[in-house]
Amino acid sequence: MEGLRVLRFEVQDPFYNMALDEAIARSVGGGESPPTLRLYGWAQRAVSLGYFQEILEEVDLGFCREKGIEVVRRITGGGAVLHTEGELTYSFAVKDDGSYVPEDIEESYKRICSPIVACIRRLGAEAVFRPINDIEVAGKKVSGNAQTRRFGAVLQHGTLLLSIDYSMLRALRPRVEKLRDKGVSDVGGRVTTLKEILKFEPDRESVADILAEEFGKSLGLELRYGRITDKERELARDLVRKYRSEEWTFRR
Amino acid sequence: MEMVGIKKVKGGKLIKVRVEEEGGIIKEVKISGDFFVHPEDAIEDIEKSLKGVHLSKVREALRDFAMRKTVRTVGFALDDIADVIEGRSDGI
Repeated sequence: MEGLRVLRFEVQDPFYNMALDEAIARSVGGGESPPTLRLYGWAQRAVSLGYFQEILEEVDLGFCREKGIEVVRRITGGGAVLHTEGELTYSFAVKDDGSYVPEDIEESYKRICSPIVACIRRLGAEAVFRPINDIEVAGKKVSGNAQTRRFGAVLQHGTLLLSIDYSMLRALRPRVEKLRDKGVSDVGGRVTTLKEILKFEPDRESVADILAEEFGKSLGLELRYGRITDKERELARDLVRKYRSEEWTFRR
Repeated sequence: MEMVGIKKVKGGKLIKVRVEEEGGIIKEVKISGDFFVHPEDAIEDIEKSLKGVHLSKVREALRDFAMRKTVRTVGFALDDIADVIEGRSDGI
């Protein structure tokens, strides 16, 4: 049975988080590393911006500065996300050769989200995949996901919200058009957390372990808890410079 | 003159298009939003393909682009960009 390398839950700096996701994708895509699931959190609160988003339209930079919220642009498209200590984040990378996930992108979101749905259900909440790239409980988003296909890899990273301080959502500038379409009046109104659903906040490490198990089951891969390679670590350190640069962050 | 248009695609994503035009000819285009394009760099190619194009020929130019290049969009279609530029959307 082929293995899924699992990188145990760790909390890292926002720029390093994005740099390491890219380094792993490059390594997996290049055939130097096996399929990999990384589980992580954010050492500082941060907004991650989608690759195609305009920073000034999406982020309240004054609020972020005041609250010490970092802003980092992702390599993946999709929407802006506020990352806080109540979030479990994952990244999943496999070769982009159709052997692990469907070539069709919308199908592959469903495929890669299915272990996340299973994980939430195991915790006791009725989670459903909501196309294109969300997971919802009772009509509210509890997980957002974003994918890129580069470097010969499929990289998908995403969130699972355990708890949130709703007042911090002011860091995001909601788009009226989008909220109207979703039938709610503010960003907080379409988000929910495991704490609200389950009436207690599960421990992030435990949820990370369950998530890893479900990924293994879903993909038919044996879990192999491991580490990043020296090469991935070096590459991530180089890439941090890109993710910290204004040129990258303000590119749109 | 600069024009800005936004479209929230039904069941899809939000696209925002900024167009700088002179006498109906597009000088600059910037497309942004929470959508997905694969490969991502294709967004710059799409923007370039619209430079020098008359505002009334955007849809054709985009179809032409799709014939020449393999680009996968998720959460919107190239025609949605034309809708925004032609003003067939929410506006701002």
